[in-house]
Amino acid sequence: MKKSKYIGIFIREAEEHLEALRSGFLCLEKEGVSEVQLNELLRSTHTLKGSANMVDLVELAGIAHRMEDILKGLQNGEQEFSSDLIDVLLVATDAIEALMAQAQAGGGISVNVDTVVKALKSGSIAEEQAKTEVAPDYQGTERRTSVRASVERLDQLVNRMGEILLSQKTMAARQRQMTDLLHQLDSLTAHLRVAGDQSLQTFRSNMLGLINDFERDRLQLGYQAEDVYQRTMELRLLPLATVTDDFERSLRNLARNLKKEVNFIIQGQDVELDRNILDAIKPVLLHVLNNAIDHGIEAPDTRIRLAKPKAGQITLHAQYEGSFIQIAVRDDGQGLDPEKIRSTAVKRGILSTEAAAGMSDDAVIYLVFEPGFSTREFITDVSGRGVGLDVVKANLDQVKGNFTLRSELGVGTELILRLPSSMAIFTGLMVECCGETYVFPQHYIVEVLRISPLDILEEMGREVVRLNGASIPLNSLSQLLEQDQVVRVADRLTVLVLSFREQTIGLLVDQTLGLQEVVVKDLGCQLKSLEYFSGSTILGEGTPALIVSVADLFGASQRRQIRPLRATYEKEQKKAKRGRVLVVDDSITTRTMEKNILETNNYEVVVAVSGFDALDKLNAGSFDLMVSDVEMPGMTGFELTKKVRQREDTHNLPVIIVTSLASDDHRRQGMQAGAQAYIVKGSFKQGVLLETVETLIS
Amino acid sequence: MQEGQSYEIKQILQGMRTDYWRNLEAVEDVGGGSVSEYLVIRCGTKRYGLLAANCREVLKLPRLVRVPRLPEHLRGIFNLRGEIVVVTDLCPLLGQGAQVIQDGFRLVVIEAGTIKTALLAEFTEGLVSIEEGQVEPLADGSGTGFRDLVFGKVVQGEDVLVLMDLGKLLGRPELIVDQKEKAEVNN
Repeated sequence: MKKSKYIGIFIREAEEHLEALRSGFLCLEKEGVSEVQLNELLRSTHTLKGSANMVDLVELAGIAHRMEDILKGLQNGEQEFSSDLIDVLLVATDAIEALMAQAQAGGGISVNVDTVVKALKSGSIAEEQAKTEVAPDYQGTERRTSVRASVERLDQLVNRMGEILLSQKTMAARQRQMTDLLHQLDSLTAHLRVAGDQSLQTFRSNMLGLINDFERDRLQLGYQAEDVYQRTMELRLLPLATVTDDFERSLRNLARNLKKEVNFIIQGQDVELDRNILDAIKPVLLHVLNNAIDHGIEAPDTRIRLAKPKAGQITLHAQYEGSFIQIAVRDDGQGLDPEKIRSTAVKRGILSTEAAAGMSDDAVIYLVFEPGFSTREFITDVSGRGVGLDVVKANLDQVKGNFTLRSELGVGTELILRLPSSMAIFTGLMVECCGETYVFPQHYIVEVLRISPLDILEEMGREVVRLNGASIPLNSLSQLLEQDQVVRVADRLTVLVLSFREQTIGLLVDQTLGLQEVVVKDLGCQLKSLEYFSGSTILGEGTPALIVSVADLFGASQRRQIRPLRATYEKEQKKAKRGRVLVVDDSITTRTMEKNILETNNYEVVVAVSGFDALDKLNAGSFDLMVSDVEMPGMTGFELTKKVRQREDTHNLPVIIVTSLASDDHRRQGMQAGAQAYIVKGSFKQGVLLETVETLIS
Repeated sequence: MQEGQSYEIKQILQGMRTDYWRNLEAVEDVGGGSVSEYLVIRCGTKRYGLLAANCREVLKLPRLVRVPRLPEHLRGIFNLRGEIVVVTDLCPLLGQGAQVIQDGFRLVVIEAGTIKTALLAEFTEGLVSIEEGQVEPLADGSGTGFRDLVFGKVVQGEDVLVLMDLGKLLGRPELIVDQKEKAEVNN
């Protein structure tokens, strides 16, 4: 029999058994020896042994045989159960894995089978021996059932699909144009009175059929493109288990080294995240978990003294939350000591004694994430990575993640990470500022406020707005981005309320344009990094938009002084709201001239062509002043002024008569009708009109 | 056939043969590296020649998106079939004021090494072949600050064509923006 032909089959089978053995051994340790579990494990080792013998992998079969012996011993009570025994069994599975790789690849991996067998016989393994049996970088059958694709290549695919979706939109516009043409043809044929022509009817019907077919094809293309697009995006996703699988074992070893007892529970390992996010959060999780064991969980005797269960508990729980992923790491250890953090932060020069004293306990614990906070109390080198907790901050910023930290002294600590499921796609709020569209990741947005400039208050030298009984520092996006802005004057201002690491700020923008799913792109080869932007996206019409880095904005918001917002807005508003003027004149030249003069000087002007038209306009809206001619058809300016005075809503409306009637008698009539000013057109000067308007309105 | 004109078929064939060999020689000259093709563009008041081998495409000006806090010579970004590309204005880099963008402007997408950018051009004139021997160095004292970015100049009648070294241009640090790196250094 040609054995090599069957190696592949054996490897695939053995992989499943190895997986079952590993999780089974850890389960034995966690939940104790059970008959059902032992039977499962025995079945796996037995099958492994048999199959390995079939393909002449004698060493592998030998190890499996010894494992089987141990399990049998446990079953009949001859073998005593211990954590050391689990260590030996785990090392043996590693050895089997290495032998599998050797069998598949042929040579190159040295496994000291004798050492492993000896350890299996004795039931314990020396540390240095264990280290020699580390599993090689082995990917098993994945080599044959999957292919590797670079993220760059996936991005190119996504780009192309995005372009196809855009083309589909363009085709929809073309279809509308064709339909319009058909309607034009209809009106043309009606006009030419050839509508009844049979050949034209046939042409029309064929054309309509073609447009309908085109629509069907376009929609079909759209659905297909959308589907391929989604699937391509999903290619970037991997389950959380790809990073957490290694955790259980390393944490168990760490706990044992530190002589602590820890139950580690992982939930939600099937939650899928973008591979870039996984790469970024792996060191974060590992570091936090190591910290929890090293500094959070107390020694068993301390825990007993504190009336806590002897074994500490650490849970890592991942779940979907809308389009986000939430990962919570909790421990029931000693918690963080705010006082100790305060004194360390002061000692390290991170903040002054006064500032430290002024911070709440909830806020002070976040200082452990500051670079340079490394202390023996909070930083551990047990992970061997030599990084501080600032890795949490740096890596989460990188993937646009947010986090909250809560801790209760003596009870435990909880770190909640909130992450987008994909770095490639997320829901963003489109915001307009200074004529450009910017994208804010939705998960940073608490709400969008519409405020009046009067709602901007000053507190301790900073401008704030009030939200739910709290003051939020206010800033302006255009000022932070250093854009020369013509301040947009509006009665209501739009404020984004952003939250980042439990801090909140308000950010003034011109307007919001709604939520949209956005595909993240990099900024190209020339823009390696931008201070306030983390990437870009392509909007529906094919134009790029920059994605705002909220982490950077928070940093800048604390550092930079900006011009007073309320004063700026009030000034602009005042300028813009000089008044609303109704100009009444039957002469288009006079009307236009007066309108231009007033509008140039920031008055809002509505024109009316007659007295009746003026009354209609007065009914439709409110005005601060009326400028009227006298000689107009239907109703004179004097009559109009009298009517204005009689109306309750316009009783006090200032009226300026602008006329070519220069006699004193006419002037008197004007005053009697109720006009406040009388300007003769012959002596009409721009300055006179403006001065009069300004005087009467103010 | 008009009176007085006569065809000498042998003479014509000889002429064709001569033309044929002359063309072949010209092609060989190009292959020998002494003649290069340049895309001629106009920026501001000057004409520049861009080595055609580095030019990817010429585009009508799409809507540019301004990027806050960029230097004057980087005018914004646009979408090139799903890829974000920066628009570079040669003028400020070559000591002139930034161009005032108008309808009809073009973008020339150029690439060298790992960098791709789109040069802003008032218009493109087309391709010209330039023999190595035609290229003169810039006059002494001219081109201060950017002499290394040009191969030289070609005088064509009253016009001067400045030949750009796109490899050097795209290698200039001013074309790369790394604000976070800069911030760290400053800190």
